[in-house]
Amino acid sequence: MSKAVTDKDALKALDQIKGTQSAIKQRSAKEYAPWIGWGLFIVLFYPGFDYINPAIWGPITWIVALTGWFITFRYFQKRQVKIKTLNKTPWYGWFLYGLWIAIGVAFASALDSHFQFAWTVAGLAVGLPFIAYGLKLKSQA
Amino acid sequence: MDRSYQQLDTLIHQPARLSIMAALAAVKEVEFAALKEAINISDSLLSRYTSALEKADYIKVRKGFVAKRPRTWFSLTAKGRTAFEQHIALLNKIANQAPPPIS
Repeated sequence: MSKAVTDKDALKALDQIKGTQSAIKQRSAKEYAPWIGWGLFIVLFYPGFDYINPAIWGPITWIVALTGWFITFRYFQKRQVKIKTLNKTPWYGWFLYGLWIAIGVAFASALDSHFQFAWTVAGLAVGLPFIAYGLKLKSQA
Repeated sequence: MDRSYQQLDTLIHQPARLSIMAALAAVKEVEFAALKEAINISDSLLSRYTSALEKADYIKVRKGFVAKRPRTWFSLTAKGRTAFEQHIALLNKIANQAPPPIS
């Protein structure tokens, strides 16, 4: 027969569960980080094309993007080997956001010569939903 | 008198095994060293407890290599996840049976 478990024992066990789950989550890859990071990158770097010569700003943006991609890849590769998380973003979520970036770039390129702030508008329209989604994931973590 | 505690799964309720189950329920899969670090337990105890949980079909063990070094990963089975969720539900039930404070 089981030893009686009091309400205090139960609360202690529930606290222990909460503590362990928070410890393991702290060691796992933060899914919200790339969303916020890439959102900030878009918001900060797209508007540069409205103010700086694209021949200069373009390569700078590419270098930062490639470095960011490498850091993101290594971060997830290293952490996912140790702890594989329950992904909250389905594959089509990543696909739709990729499509959203492409639409933003196409929109800004098409309107670039007609509208002075085309890249700023595109940067905000594309980047802010990334940041908002990242913050939503962070609040659930 | 409520006998909810009698339905508690004694295999899961032991503190270290409860931590193992809790950690595995929060993620898809955890590597041995990361699990050991998160629940602060020795290698031998972790091996012993995971073996017991594996025998009960609560967890799945996967072995592999990373950079030619052997590694072991653990994950919850469907049976283990159900048992853990039922365990939490029972704990919550017991915790909520606390008598109201005397005013």
